[in-house]
Amino acid sequence: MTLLKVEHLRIALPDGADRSHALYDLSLQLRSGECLCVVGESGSGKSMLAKALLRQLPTPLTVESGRLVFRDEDLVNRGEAAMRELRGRDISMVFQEPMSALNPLLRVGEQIDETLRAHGVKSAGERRQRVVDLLGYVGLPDPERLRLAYPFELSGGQRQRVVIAMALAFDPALLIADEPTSALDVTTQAQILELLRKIQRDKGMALLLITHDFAVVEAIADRVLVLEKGRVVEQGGARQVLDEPRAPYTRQLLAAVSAQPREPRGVVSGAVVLKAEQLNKVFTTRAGWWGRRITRALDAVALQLREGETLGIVGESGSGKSTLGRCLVRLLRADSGHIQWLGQDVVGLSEGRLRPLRSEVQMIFQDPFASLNPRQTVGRIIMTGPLVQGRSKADAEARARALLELVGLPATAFERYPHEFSGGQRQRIGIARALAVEPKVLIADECVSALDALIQVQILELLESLQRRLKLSIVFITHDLRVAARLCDRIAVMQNGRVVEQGDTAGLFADAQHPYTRALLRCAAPEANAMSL
Amino acid sequence: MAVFRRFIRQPSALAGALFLLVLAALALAAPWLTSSSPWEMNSRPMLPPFHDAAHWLGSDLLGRDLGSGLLYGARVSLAVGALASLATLVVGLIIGAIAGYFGGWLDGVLMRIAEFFQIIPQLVLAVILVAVLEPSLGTIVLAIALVAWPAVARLVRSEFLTLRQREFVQAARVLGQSPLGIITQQILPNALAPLLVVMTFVMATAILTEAALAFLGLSDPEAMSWGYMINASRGLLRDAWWMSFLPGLAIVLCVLAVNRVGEGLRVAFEPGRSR
Repeated sequence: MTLLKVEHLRIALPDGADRSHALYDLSLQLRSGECLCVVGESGSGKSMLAKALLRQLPTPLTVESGRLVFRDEDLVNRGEAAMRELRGRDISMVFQEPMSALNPLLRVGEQIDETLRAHGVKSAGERRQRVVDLLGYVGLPDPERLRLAYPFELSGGQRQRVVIAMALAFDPALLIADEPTSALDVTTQAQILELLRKIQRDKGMALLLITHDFAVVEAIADRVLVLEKGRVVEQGGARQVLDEPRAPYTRQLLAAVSAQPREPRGVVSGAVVLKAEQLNKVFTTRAGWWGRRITRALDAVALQLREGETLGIVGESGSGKSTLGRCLVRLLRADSGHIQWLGQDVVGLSEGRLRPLRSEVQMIFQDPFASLNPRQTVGRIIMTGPLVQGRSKADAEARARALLELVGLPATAFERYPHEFSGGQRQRIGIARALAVEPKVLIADECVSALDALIQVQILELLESLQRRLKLSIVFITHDLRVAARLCDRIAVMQNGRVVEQGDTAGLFADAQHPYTRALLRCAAPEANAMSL
Repeated sequence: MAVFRRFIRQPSALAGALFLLVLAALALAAPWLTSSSPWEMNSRPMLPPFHDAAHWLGSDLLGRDLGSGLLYGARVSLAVGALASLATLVVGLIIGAIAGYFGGWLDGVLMRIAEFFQIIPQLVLAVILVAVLEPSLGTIVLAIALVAWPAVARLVRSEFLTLRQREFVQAARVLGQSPLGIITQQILPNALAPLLVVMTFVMATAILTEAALAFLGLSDPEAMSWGYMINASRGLLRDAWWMSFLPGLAIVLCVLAVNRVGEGLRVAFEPGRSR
């Protein structure tokens, strides 16, 4: 039975947007018990579809034309009160960021209780039983006790399970999930997807899952719809789209996320440019009045990097990989251990003594929007480094202009401000800024994770070509094994502040020793298998 | 430019800014607009407004021209407002920037000093300071700046605390920029908007404080000021209300205009959170 039918949906964007419509002529059908994945990059209009279905479009936007038919009833005819009746009962939604979807001041049990009460479950005992049942159903341990926990006491995965439990309060016929796993670690992502799959099978529910990630599609979809800039470019069965994509755009996207370990480049035997030994870093936070909670962010970490080599540091959030990156550039001071830049020990140096050496090791930051000073022109931003390292103004300007060309930006970018550029272009500016002081070592901290898959590939290719031309050594920090595989000669896997496994990329993919590495590989693997078919 | 356009699109802010500009022009041109010194007794005492073309705003109980007094009073009010907010800005900025950027024990010490000034009622402290040091333009500005800087320092400190963590500031550190360079080139330009808004409110408070001090007789004896005019005529409120009403109205309008400009700037700087 067709549960949901969307016909020729068109959503207009206000004047001055980058295109005339958020969605042009989108049609889809969804049957009960089926999972449809809507895939697209950021700005493709995929979230607008979910918002239109629940009639929660942001204010200037409206449905220009088209029909939204749910159970043979056109939703346009429903009044606001009738829509409220529908939301949370027949159509439910799971959001991307579980921390902001939950009220931080309410216990999780109360929040689910609220949904039940809003839809008229009067008896308190009945509601309480239902809350416990739901929390148990989504696989949370000890639901009787967990019901009384506040959101901040739960992990990201547990929070998302609570959000799912809330969405399931009335066994909805249709569950809309907007990027439900993008804020989670890969291993947690796999568990949440498995849970959604199981619920959907048990309840015969229809699932509309919005995502940018083909790993999610691979794991859960029956059918796939690919959106590009508001237009449907491909629609079909999951296997067909993944194995024999018809649209060139889909093929590009799939190629961008394939996890092919790079060809070994032979033994890199340059001089050691960066070396860390027995690095320790402990964070203490106060817990309660007297207690102190100690987090071992780095625990006896040792690594070295040769000239022209790329070392990947892979781990989940909280594994200490960012702390390691910050210690290596001396944004943080390690508690103990040694760090050598080009053979010189830098751990003991004062900030002032270190400053002239800073040009040797540079960093590329994660967030392309926060990492550029919004009040400076791109030219000024790139010139900062050479100027503070004592170059003349003319020299610095010439260098900045040359770098703009090197990273593939137009010369006109020099006078413009960062907000005029897209995420990928901004990341190029960040790379140019780092290269302006002619470093030997680049430390890239999650430098592509905020970008769309196609842009990621471009930035990775840029880094690779720059590395070859300038003989750079790169420490590439990422949570994404697939990205690391494309770029890195060697990979170090981190867990709880320790390097648990280290080895050359191909070897690690072929024969991982540590169970944690194997778990990470399994999560990235379905893709690799799909690609190799 | 977008900020300027959003600013002039608000009628009340634009009116406030124009009012202040006109007032400043009138105050500067006071010697040419009036033939007499504000202290000169040149007409019948307690002359109501609009009775004599030569003294159309009337005169006070000693026969001094009220219009001339208001113009010269504007000089004092605006000068104190501008100088006091500038002095407050300099002190608050330096202390707030040091506390926010370097943190640690330095931050602790500076903030305890700021709190020491904040726990004493502001007007009382200002009165004591001016009374101890001879009343003059300099001491009044000093007293106002001394009571007003902690608020500015705290704002600057909190802006610096958040901006210091931003990635572009960290990038500047990695590039080897010195703390002074980072503060002036990276952080300060981004903290300017809220600072400017707060400065207008400091200015409004400074004008009010100056009027209050003058009302209590603590004004520069050489300069005519609005607070002094109210003080001089408060005993005759029933017989000649206009003598206190006109300078009072001038204070209200001036402070209101400064406040509207501040509010307009705030809205113009953050278009997302306007209403």
